[in-house]
Amino acid sequence: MNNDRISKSIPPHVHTWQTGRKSIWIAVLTLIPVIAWSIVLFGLPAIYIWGSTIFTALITDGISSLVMHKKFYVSDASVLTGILIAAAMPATVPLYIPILASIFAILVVRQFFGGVGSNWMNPAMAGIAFAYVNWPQSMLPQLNPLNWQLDTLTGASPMAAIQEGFNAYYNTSPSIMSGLISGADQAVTSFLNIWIFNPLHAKLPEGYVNFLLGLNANTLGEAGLLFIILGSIVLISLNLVKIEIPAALFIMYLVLVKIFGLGISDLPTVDTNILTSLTMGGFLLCTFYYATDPVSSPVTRAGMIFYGILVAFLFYIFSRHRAFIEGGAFAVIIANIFVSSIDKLVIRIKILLRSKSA
Amino acid sequence: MRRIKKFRHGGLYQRGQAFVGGQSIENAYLPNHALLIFREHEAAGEPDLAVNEGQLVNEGQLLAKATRNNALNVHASIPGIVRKIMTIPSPEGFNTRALVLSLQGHFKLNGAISGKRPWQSLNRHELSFVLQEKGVACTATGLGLHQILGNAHGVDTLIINAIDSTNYPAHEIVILEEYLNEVMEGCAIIKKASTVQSVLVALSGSRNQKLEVNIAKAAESFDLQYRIEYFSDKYPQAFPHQIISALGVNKNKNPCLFLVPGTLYAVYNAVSLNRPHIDQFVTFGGDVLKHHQLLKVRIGTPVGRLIEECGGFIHAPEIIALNNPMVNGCISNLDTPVSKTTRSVWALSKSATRLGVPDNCIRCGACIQVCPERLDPYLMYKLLGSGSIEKIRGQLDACTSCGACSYVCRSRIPLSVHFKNKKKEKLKDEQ
Repeated sequence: MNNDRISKSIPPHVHTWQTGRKSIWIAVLTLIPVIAWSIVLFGLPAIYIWGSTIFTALITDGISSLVMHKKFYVSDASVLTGILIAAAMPATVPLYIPILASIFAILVVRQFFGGVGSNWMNPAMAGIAFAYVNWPQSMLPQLNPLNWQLDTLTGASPMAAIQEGFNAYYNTSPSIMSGLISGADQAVTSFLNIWIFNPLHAKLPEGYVNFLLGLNANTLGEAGLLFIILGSIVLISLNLVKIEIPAALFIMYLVLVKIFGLGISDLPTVDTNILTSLTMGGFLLCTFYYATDPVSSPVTRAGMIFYGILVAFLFYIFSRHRAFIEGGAFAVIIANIFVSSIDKLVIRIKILLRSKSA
Repeated sequence: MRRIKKFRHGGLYQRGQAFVGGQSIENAYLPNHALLIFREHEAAGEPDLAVNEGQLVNEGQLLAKATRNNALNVHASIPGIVRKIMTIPSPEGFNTRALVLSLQGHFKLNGAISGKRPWQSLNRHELSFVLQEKGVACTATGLGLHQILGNAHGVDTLIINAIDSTNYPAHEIVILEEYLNEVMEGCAIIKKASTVQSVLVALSGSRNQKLEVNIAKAAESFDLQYRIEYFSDKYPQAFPHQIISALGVNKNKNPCLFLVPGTLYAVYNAVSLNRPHIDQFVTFGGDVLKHHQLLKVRIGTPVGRLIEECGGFIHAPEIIALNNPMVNGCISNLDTPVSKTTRSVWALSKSATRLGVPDNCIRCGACIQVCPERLDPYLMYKLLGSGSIEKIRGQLDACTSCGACSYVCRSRIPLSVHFKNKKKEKLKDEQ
């Protein structure tokens, strides 16, 4: 009605440039290289998966708001939800799974609880968990999506291959997983070793470039690890994410890995390798995109840190006893349950401290 | 190197282009018509009219006499005929009576070389009476200065607040530099009229060697104990609460008096030159204004006329805000006059205001981190929405309505205005 006029006449008349919509669209922009790269790697199936989740999310949002609120309104957040759901899908998944997961995420988790800003659970994570729990077989990744690059591959399961790789690393060659090294990896690693690491008397084992470029990725999102790292730098520098959550999550997870290990190898030095732990199981995607969703995370600073630690614990547990490759979704969903309690506790302590000091 | 002081919790830095300071003050043209409003403050009482419509008045003549609580005397800023007495809405949203003067006659005060009043021989009550009679208002709050002095029991420090903490500064520092002797004499008068022992000059930004030397000279000639402190440009550093917090003193132990240089200049005029509060320094700025200027304006001059003097607009402004755009109101009418509390006028485009339609809260938590009083605007907003005010009574009382939470709100929810209105309602209920 007169909303515009009213908002004009009341102070403050100046604002920060950040808005909810802008932060969503910038997050989407940072994910576009991930989408593009996964399409390069996986081809047509990737296009179908990304397209189906985004499209389904938008349609579901529009229809449900028309039915529930008698007003056609599509929230920008649906685009991000669709992208995040697709990021956790393996390239070989049948198309009905991402579509149903998107419908579940938007309709049940977001719209039934009151729309954008009112959902207590991260809708994208709920969609991912929905898919993993209902169709565990289809959600198992095909380890070898890129036959043309990984011709030496023989392992039957990813963990076995990694295990073999680690053993090989410590016995013979300086790579973290000799069975999975692509030509690109060898080229980049040797280049970096000659120009950067050898002058510093260090040596980069082969295999990390594979991870960065997603050459042995399990899901679409993991394929763009390099771009996720770049995107997270953009999001943090523009102050669009709650920085306390990824910071706490990062530190806590690394501490846990250092102490208890990843559970992938008998050799303690391999098991507690930090770089390996960061590249596995969509950890970075979980840290910077899944766990930092503003709506379903705490609002207080202490609460954010506590939440980050909680997610790190759960993520560690899920990734160590890996029933599903995307442990992050379950970790975030379970941590979401505690968010309102965390906020209540922190604010109560704050009020108590203030009344004491006053 | 002296440490730059700042308050501890919350606050925000406004990035971007600020109005370039360090300019000289120019006298604005005299208006043909002046519109004098009777109330500067929502809680102020209305003064009683002392003239009739059609009467010819001299420059500086008393037009309305304050008889009620918080009321201020109103003087004629230009000589002329009283055309009309009417009721107009003020920029802050309340209605006030106002009086239109049309220029006629000659200026008696302007340029007249009059002897200085030997105020040193006056006592506290006489000085306070002079301030009341000349209608001197605190330009930052709109309260009568005599009232502030009357309420300030046991005050021992006068803080000259020349801090600019936003991109929209009032340029009190320029007034301090240009009229340093007058401002320091104003300080000496306030010292005589209250229990103030020493003066603290609060400046923002980096060290200003030249100003320090000049202040030392001026303070010596008026026998003032003074010290200079530099403060950060974190918003809302210019608020009294935050200055106290940055100084690290106990407010209950050392109560302070906060005045801006513009007010002290008015004090000097009233007491030393026997001239009522009819001049006001107003900064004109904003990204759609052609020339940015700091003008010495007769009170009652329409803002539109002054904007014309600044070269007009480059294109139509989205909003014309008064004073601090974070807190104060805006004007919808270019005939709105300059009043005793008008310190700056900002003509802003859409790209400067970044206004938006309020949306659902997305729980980003920015308001909690930015609050300088360590409140929880998020929780307060939610509880106000559900009607349970009792739980946040203490937080509502502590809110200073600085607007930092609304500034950072990603959903453009006008949080601080909600809190201010609720506070007002609550006060009304209690009365």
